[in-house]
Amino acid sequence: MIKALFKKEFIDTIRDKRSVVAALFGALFTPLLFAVMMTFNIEKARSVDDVYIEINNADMAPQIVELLDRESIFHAELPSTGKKFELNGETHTHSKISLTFSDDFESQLSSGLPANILINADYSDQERSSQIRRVKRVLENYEGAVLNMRLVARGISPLVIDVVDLEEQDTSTPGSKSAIILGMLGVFILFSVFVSSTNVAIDCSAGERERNSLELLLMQPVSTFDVVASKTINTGLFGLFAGTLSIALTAVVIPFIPLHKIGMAFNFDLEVAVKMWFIILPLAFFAAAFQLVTTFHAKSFKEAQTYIQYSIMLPLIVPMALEFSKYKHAALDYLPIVAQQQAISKLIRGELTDFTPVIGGMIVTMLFSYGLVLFTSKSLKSEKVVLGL
Amino acid sequence: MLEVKNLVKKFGDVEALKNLSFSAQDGQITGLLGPNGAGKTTALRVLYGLLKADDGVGVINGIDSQKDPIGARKEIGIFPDKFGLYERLTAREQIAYFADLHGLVGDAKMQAIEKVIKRLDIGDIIDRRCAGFSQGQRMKVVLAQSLVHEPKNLILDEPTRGLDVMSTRILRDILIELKEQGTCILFSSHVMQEVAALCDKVIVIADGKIADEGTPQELCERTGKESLEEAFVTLIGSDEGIAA
Repeated sequence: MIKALFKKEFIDTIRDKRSVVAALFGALFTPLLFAVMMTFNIEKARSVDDVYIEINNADMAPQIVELLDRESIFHAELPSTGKKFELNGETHTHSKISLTFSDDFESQLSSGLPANILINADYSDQERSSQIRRVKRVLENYEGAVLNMRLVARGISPLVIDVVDLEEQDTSTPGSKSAIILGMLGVFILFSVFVSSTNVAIDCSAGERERNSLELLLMQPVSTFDVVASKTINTGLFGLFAGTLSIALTAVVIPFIPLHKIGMAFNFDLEVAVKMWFIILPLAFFAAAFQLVTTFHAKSFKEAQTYIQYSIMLPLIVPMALEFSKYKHAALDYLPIVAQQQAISKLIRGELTDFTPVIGGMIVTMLFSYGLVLFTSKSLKSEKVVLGL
Repeated sequence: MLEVKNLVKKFGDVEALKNLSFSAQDGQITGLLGPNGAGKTTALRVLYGLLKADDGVGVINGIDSQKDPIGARKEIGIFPDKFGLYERLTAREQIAYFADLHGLVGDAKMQAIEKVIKRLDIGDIIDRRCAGFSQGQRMKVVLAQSLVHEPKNLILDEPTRGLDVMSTRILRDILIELKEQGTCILFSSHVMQEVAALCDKVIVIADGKIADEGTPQELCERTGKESLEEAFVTLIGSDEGIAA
C-alpha cells in the first residue's frame, strides 16, 4: 500500500514546479553562498587596508616615511571636518592619527640622543587601535635597526641586547586551520537538507487539505500510518536529493575557493562526499517527519508556511543551544541533528575515525523519525487535524 | 446495506447528531434530505469512520465502521461533497490511484479502469491532467474513482451541486443503472426535484434528528401537502436552506 501511495505522492510533487524549484534552490543556494562568503573572507583577511595619517615635519625623517609607505601607511592632511577626504578623485577615510617629528629630530638622531616623535590619536577608539599598532610597529622596527647599527659601530654584538630568545612555533596545520572555517560548511549542508523539503511537506499536508483531497484520501481503506509514512518518504527524498546535489556542488566549488592563499588545504574527495551522504541520509527523513508534524497541525497553507520557517532554524539552533548551555553528556551525541553535525565537522577535520556515534546517531535519528510518523498518523485520526478545525 | 444506529456526535458544546438512526437497503436509492447544518455530512463522516461518534454505531455490510474503519471502507465507494481532485494527475492516474487504494492489482486493476472509463464515457479526457477540467468532467472522474472497485454501497454527498443539466442527467442514469444491479445507494441532498425523482426512500433530517422517513409520496400524504418541498418545510418547521 505504501508503494502505491508513495508513487502518487512522487508524481504529484515532481509535477509541482514550486516544490521542485524550491528544492533546487535549497540545493544550489548553500554551496554558492558558502563559496562567495569564503572567497570574500579570504580576500579580506589577506589584503592590508591603506591607512592615512598626518605626518608633520616629514622632511626630518625621510627614511621613516619611506618605511611607513612600504607598509601602506600614507600621509594625508587632516580633514577639517569629519573623516572623509578626496584624493585623486576618490574618497578615503582618514585615521585621524597624526605623527609629528620634532624640529630637532634629525640633529638629535645624528648625535645619538633620543629623537622625539609625537603620536596624536584617540586611543579609546577600538577601530583606531590596530592602525596605531601598525604605525608603532614601523617605528619600533626602525628603532631596532638603528640600535643594531649603533652597537655594531661601537664594536658590540647586537646579540647582547637579546635577553630572551623567543621562538614561536605555530602548530596549526593548513588542514586544521581551514576546519574552523569549513566547519560552517557542515551546517550549510544540513541546512540545505532542511530547506529543500519544506515546500513538499506543506504541499502534501496542509496543501492537500486545502484542496479537499486529504479528507477523501482518509475515507479510503488505508491506514493513516501508511499515508504519513509515504508522505514522509517522498518529502525526505526531496531533502536527500537536495543534500546530494549540495554535496556534489560543494565538491565542484571548493577547488575554486582560494584556500591556498591563506595556507589552507581541504581535500573534498569522493570518499568524503560519500561518507557525508550517508550521514545526511537519516537526517533527510527526520527533517521530513518533523516538518510534516508541523504542517499537518497547521490550519492552512499559509499557517504551515509560518510554522515551517522555525523548523528550518533547527539545524542552526540545536547545535548552538548545546554550545551555549555548556551541558555535556555522552547521550547528546546521539541526538538527531547533533550527531550529524558533529560527524560532518569531524569528517571535514579528517578526524572521523570512530564510527560508533555516527551509526548510533543514525539509528536514533531513524527511531525519532519513526516516532514522529507515528505521532502524525495518530493525530490524523483526530477531526481537528483532518478538517483543519 | 448501510446502517447508523443511535448516533450522537458533539463538537464542543454543539450537539450535531442527537440519537440519529436510519438505514439504506441494497437495490434502493435512499435520499438524506435536510437543510444546511442539519448534520447530513457529519452523519456520513461518522459512517465512514472518519469521525468518532460519542455514542452509537455506523454499520456497512455488517462491519462496524467505528471499530474496523478500514474493513468498512472497503465496502463503499464515496462521492464526496468537495471533489478534491489531484490537479497535477491525469484522470487515468487519479482513477488508478483509487484502484490501488482498494487493493486492485495487475490485470484486474487495468480491466477495472478500462471498464469504468467506458461506462462513464471519459476516453477523451482520460490522459489529460485534471487542472483544466470543467465541473461536469470533474464529476465524471470523481464518480469513476468511486466506482472503479465496483463497491456494493455508494455514498454521494450532495452530488449534483454545481452540475449542469447534462451532467445531472448522466449522474442520474448511472445511479438508476447501479440500483438495478443491486447497489445500495445513499445520497444526501437538499434539491427537492432530484430527491423526488430518484429516491425510493427519503430520510428527512433536521437539527441532528430524524424528522420523518418514507417514500416521497408517503411524506406528502402524511403532511397533507401537494409537493415534497411543501412536505419538507412542514416537517422541519421552517423554509430555511432549501434549494428550489
